[in-house]
Amino acid sequence: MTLSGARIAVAGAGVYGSTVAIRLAERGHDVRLFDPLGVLRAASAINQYRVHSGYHYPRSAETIGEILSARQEFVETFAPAIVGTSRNYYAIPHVGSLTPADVYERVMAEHGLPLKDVRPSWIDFNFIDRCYEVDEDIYDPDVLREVIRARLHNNGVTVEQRPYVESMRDEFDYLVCATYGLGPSRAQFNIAKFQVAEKILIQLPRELHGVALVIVDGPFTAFDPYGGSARSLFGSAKNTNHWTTTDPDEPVPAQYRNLLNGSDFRPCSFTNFEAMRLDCAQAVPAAAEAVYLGSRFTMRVVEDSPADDRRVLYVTERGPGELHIFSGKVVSAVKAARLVCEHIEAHG
Amino acid sequence: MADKPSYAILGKGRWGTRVRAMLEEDGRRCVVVDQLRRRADESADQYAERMSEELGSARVDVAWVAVPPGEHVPLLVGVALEAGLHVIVEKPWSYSREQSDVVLAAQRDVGRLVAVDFEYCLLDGVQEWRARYGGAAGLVFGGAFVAAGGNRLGIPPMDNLGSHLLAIREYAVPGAAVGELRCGYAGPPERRVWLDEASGRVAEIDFGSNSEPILQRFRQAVEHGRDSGEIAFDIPFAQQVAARVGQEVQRTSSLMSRSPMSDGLPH
Repeated sequence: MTLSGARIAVAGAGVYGSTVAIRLAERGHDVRLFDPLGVLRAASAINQYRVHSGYHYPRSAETIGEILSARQEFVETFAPAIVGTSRNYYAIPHVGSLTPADVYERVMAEHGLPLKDVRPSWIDFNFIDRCYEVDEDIYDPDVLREVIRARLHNNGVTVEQRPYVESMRDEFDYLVCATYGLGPSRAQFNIAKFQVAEKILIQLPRELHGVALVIVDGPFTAFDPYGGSARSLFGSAKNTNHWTTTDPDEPVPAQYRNLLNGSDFRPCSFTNFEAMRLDCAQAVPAAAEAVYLGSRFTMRVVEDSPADDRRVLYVTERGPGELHIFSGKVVSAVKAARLVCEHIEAHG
Repeated sequence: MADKPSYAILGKGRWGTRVRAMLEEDGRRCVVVDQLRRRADESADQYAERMSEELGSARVDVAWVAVPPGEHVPLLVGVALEAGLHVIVEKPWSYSREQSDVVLAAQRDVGRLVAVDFEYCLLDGVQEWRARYGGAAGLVFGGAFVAAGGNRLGIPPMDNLGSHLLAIREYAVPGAAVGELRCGYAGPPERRVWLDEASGRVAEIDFGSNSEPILQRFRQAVEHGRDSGEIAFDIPFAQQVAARVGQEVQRTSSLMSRSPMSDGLPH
């Protein structure tokens, strides 16, 4: 087989699969990208849209290292989708965080991640101990989808809106699965946990527009801007996830099945909005005025590593010509694509 | 014309950002014009003059008016035409006949295109309908466009979302009667069109999560039209869509006024 011109199936058209498909096609391979939902329609489009710098993972040096090794190429590759206007804060509460402020500051210093100690007027410092402004970004999912769609098209990737199935295997020299431990990657990663996650679109008071806040390392609720819009998203370690399993074969509860990966935010009778609103208001009193606009649900698949909250990238070969990706954070997508290309070229 | 045209994007909102990303991916130079609000101390003529200067200094070929609909839109289109640019404008085109006539006259004077962004017409499925059912008789067109998340533009759903559906009909199956149309800003998200005949459903397109590069295709259609002098999605086409939308609003209001169960949305 030559270093280009291989026939490659990529299963999963999230940000990982799509980026892999683009990179492989740029190198002259004949790439078909399979996903029954289309391009960036599941977890890649339903999350907090954070372009992590490492501040989120004070208990996992591995994750910070992973993010730092991957972030720059992500930002360069997807620059048009990076929203440059968000103001980004991490705050440590007096009580309840697994990482107290002194530890947090030491860990960030060890990784060369600067913290600017600030006291925004909208934070209640009776609840919050320290607040830091940091250099981080968010991406706009709609712009990212447009960029990726254009690149897939311009590089001749065939996008097929149907699942990849094993019976197609003979048509391809390589199979790359970017399906987060589901689909063809089912049971390939025993590190995974699967969660039905609710992302909640809200309208916050004007002073909080464009603010991205994380309350560090505990069951707290905070918020991020929704792309480049004036709306925001609630996020909560405690209330975002409605259901969790480590068994990929366990059926999703019926009430969520028809809601997963919907294309728009819409009101939901069993939303956790109220719990998040009240929780968030402890740290940010103005968040009590948050208006609920709707919810989207997706299957969130993450590494099940509660001790250190680790989120690193795995690219593994399972059988000849078959690669499986288990993603850490979105910022590692371009790195994963690079690793896949290098692997195929080294083994081609 | 073999060269890649350059674009002025009027508006720096999320849609304008998305348009710009696509254009730059395709190697088009883009200039963002974002001071679009008419200042309190500006007369209409002063506003037009300022916009004209902005567009003239941008040295571009095409203006993409990526702002929400409103009375400023025909004015911006006119200014862009006067600056010698081709123009792309977002749907719906629900402006008066007089406003449209002014734009059409300006367009004729300067020999430029004005295209209305009905990009869903460029879905593969719609193209297939046009080829297969475009001349067919006895078909009934239906559709649903429910985009949850509220009425952010302040436009009734039939006028806004319905214009997408009726543009598909106008473009692909203009001879089909109009049957059920459902549009709304609340409820389960849905984007579908279908064709029925007496014996049942003939075809259906679900474009809720399509992966087709329809915005790119629209750009290509405009750039091709720049060379050929024609585009299917011109102002007369958009006027026909708007007229059909008006008929549907009237029809559904009259149906709802007879229905004791009416909740404000056509079912």
